[in-house]
Amino acid sequence: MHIPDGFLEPKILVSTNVISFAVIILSLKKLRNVDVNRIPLMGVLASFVFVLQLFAFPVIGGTSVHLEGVVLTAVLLGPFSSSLIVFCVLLMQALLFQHGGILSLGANFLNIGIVGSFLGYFLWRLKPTKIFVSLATFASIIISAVLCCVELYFSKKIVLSVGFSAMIFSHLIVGIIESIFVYIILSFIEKLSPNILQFEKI
Amino acid sequence: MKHNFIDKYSNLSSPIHKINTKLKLIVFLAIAVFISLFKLENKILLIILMFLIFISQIAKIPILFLLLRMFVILPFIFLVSVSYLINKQNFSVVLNVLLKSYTVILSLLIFIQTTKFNKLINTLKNFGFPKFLLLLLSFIYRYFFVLTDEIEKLMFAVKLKQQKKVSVKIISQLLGILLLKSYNRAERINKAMLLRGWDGDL
Repeated sequence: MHIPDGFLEPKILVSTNVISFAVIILSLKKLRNVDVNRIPLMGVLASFVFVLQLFAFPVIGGTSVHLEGVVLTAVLLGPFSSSLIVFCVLLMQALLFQHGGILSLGANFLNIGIVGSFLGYFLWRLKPTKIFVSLATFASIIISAVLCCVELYFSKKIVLSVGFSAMIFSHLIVGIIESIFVYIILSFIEKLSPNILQFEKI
Repeated sequence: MKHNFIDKYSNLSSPIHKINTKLKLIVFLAIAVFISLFKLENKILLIILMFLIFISQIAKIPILFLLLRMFVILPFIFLVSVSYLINKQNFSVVLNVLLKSYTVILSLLIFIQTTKFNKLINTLKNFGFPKFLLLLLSFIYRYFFVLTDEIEKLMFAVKLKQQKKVSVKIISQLLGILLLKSYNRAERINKAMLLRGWDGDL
């Protein structure tokens, strides 16, 4: 869920933006002396994630669901690269489609980018199998939904019970679908060209 | 191939299109910060909204397009209004959130739809936005069109080759193909860019 502008209180906005800013600076530092060959790869993968998130398909109840692809990029390129990619994708979505706001970009990046990239990557490092990637995807989606609820709750915009029941329920569906997708995509890649799983993970 | 241009009104010409991008960016950010951080009454928000709609008409952006973008915030408005119904609070608070959110969206739309993307990137560069992120942003923008073309081709091929409904497995394999194609494309782009003397600079 990408929170639009106008929903969060100033203190939430400031704190989430500070955390996100710190992570961005850290990631940029990690990638400062990166190989030039890696930049087009990251750029095209970012474009892939951007398109993936537009690829919405309907679920029960008239709502539509799209994939996030965050854990997938984290597993392919590493957490710091992935967090930068997701930041750019979120910024582009906010600018071009108004999916999520400009000032609430920090909150959205915290919910989707940081949780997905780092949690997904470290769960995968624990046990590098496809099942674990799927589990990490599921876990990161649920955690991001919970974080989104908590942020809205502390901005005094929603009642926690309503938020949790609506968000967790819809994200259970998203999580299950996305983890199946990630599993099939990864096994497909493993079969067709396993060399792209061997990039340096930064 | 039908292109669904994402900033299709940025090629028009109007007084708003001709204003300096730097100035527009600063004004937009000022509006966004002002609306997000301060408590404003509904009347004041309505006046700002009317003013923005007036500006958008000078910029020749169709009003239907502006209204349709409101759908992005409706799920959140739904959550907030259910919460307020449970608490039996005044409904004007919900209206306040809706107006705040939509005003920011409207100002962002006017800014983005009257500015060419390369001008935006240049302005951000002048403001000291990290070069690495700008590179990723311009990659996303450039390859968005290429990748949507590729998706259309893939979907067309699927439609030609089978009559049954498209399953999750087929969609995820399509996404896998798209990912592999993106990787190959990235490699070719990288070679082409290096041949043309690119050294990691914007």
